[in-house]
Formats: sequence, C-alpha cells, structure tokens
Amino acid sequence: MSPSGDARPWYQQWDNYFFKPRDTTVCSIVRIAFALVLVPYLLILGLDLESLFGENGVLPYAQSRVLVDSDVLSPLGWLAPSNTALWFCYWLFVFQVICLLLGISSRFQAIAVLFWLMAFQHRNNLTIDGGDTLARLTAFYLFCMPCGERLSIDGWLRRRKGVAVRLLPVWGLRLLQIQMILLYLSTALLKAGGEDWLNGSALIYITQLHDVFGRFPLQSFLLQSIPLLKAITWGVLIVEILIPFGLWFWKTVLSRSSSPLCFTWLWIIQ
Amino acid sequence: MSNNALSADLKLKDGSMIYWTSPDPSSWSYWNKFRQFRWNEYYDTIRLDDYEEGWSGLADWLVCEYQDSGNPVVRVRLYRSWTYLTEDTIKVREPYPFSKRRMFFRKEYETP
Repeated sequence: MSPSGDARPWYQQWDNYFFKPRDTTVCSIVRIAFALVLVPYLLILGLDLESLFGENGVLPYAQSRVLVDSDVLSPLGWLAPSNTALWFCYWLFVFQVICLLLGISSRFQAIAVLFWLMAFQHRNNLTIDGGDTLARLTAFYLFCMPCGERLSIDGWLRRRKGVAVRLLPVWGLRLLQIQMILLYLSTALLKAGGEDWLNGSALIYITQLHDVFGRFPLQSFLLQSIPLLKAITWGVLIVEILIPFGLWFWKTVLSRSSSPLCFTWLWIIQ
Repeated sequence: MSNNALSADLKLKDGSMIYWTSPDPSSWSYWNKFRQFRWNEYYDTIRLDDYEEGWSGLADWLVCEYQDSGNPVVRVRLYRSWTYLTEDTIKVREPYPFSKRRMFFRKEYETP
C-alpha cells in the first residue's frame, strides 16, 4: 500500500500489505513495550485500588452506573462488592500482564488484558483519559497479531521442540499502524481547527496548568517566554500534521521495516 | 482555561469543623505527579456539573476518611475554586490563592 512504485493492481498490493507472511519480531516488540507500560499503570492502580474502585471509595458501583452509562457493565460489578474480590481481580490482572510480557499464551493474555482494562475503566471513568482509551485499543490489536511468535517463552519452547520460526501475516499490526495514523491525524486536525493553536497561544495556557505540566524538569525561560511558547505551539502543530504522513509514506522513514518501530515509539510517547 | 481545586468543610457533631483541600499538584515532586495521576484526573473531573451524581460519593468518602465514632460528621459542603489563565498570569508560577470559589454540594448526615 505504500507508494513504492509497485506496478501490481491495488487489490494485490492491499493483500500483500495486510496478509503477506512476514517476520513477526515487531509484533513482539509492541507486545513487550505495551506490557512494560502497563506495569507502572498497575502500580498506580494498586496504590489506590480501594479508594478509587471499592464500595467505600469515592464512587460506589451504583453511582458509577449513572455516570458511566447504565448499559455498560463492569465485571467488577458482577462480583460481590467486596474488597477481597476487587484485589483478586487486580492480582489476576497483574498476573496476566506479566504473562503477556513474558510471552505465555500471548494473544489470550492480550484479550484478557483488554477485559481487565475495560473492567476497571468502566468501574470508575472519572480517573481515565485518552491514554487509557489507547491502551484498550492496543490490547485489542495485540490480540489480532501474532505477538507471541518471537521474544517469548512460548516461542522459546517451540524452538526447543525443533519448530522453526514462522513468517505470519501481520494484519493486526497494520491495523494498529492505521489507528496511530488516524490518531495523530485527528489530533492535528482538531488542533488546527482551534483558535489557540493557530494563533500560537495554546502552550501559553497549557504550561500554566498545575495539574498536568511539570512532570519533568524544564528551565523557567522555556515556560515564561511568550515568543518561544508560540514557536513551540506552531512546532507541535506542524510535527503532528507531518507524523501521519511519515508513518504512511515509507520513504520518509529510514526504511520500510523501521516504520513499525517508529510507530511503536510514537505509541509509547503518546 | 483554568487551574482548579476542590475543597470541603466537614462539620462535626460538637460543632467543630474540619477543612479539606484537594492536593496542590504544583507542590508535588516528580514522583508524586506520576503517582497521583489518577487522583488528579478524578478531582479535575468530579468538580464538573456533568458529574453531579458522583458528588455524594466524594462526600461519603471524606466522611469515612475523617470519621470519629465519638464525634461524627453531621454535614459536608463541597467547594470548587478556580483561577482563569491568561497570557498575563504566565509570570505567576503559584496558582494559589484561587480567584473564584463556589459551594456546589451539601449533604447532611444523621447521627445516633
């Protein structure tokens, strides 16, 4: 599908893009990166589990049904509203993330992780943001890709039995690639439609938000110079407009094979 | 765009008051900004009118946090405070005190 000068009909290019058997190492790298991101995610969740998700916490289950959506079920609500059941679900979630990291029944663990992500996010949706939505999508796409073939315990066991490494279709990885492109494209279009981004003042406000800014040390001259903040605002807009094109057109990245690695990195920073 | 905080006053049975304010993220260490991320999201969301069904849960949770069986909480009032951000406020790195404050929820508790 990339504009590589391929003379074959579009439907053959399409078939090749999605379904041609390929090396699956990048799928495994995405799996490991995702699991590594989930470890601190779970650490944060565990430190406040009962306060954020328990019946005696800030949002009892009955109230959460009104706020989330009365038609949306959370598996945490199917269980008796006890902290013991909550901790059981949490530790099962942790166990399955570790299995995903190590590559033990990877695709099953991916769909199980999606199940738990939805369970917790639907239990208390006041604590989530866009990153949580992206985590759910990534878990789903991991389920769709052969993410346990390489760099996994399952793969290692297969190799010990003499089974050679297989080349497999990576259409799940392609879907994730398209998702990332759409994500950056929609972000850029939304920003481009906003007055604050066009006139360069967006970061002037954002850098003053005390709850989201300042997780990393930044020099004060970066945060207090209005001309510099305007330049950075426009720079962000330009980069976000260019990223989707960079991900889609392979000539703008180092090589065709490095493109998935690039969006793996973009997924992590997102 | 604005910086926001939640606060509450809890009236005890003997008439004394407990004052609570949501943590100030600008004073946190880098680790705390990471560690308290979920609470930040919660406080930033629950203050909005769209989430009024969750206000009672916050009040009940505060009562549990400060419960003293000998002197129970009889009333909780929740407040939201905010300061609008402009290009002029960029030189002011401390967001407190907030320029606006309004009570948005009140709940009475039965005591034995």
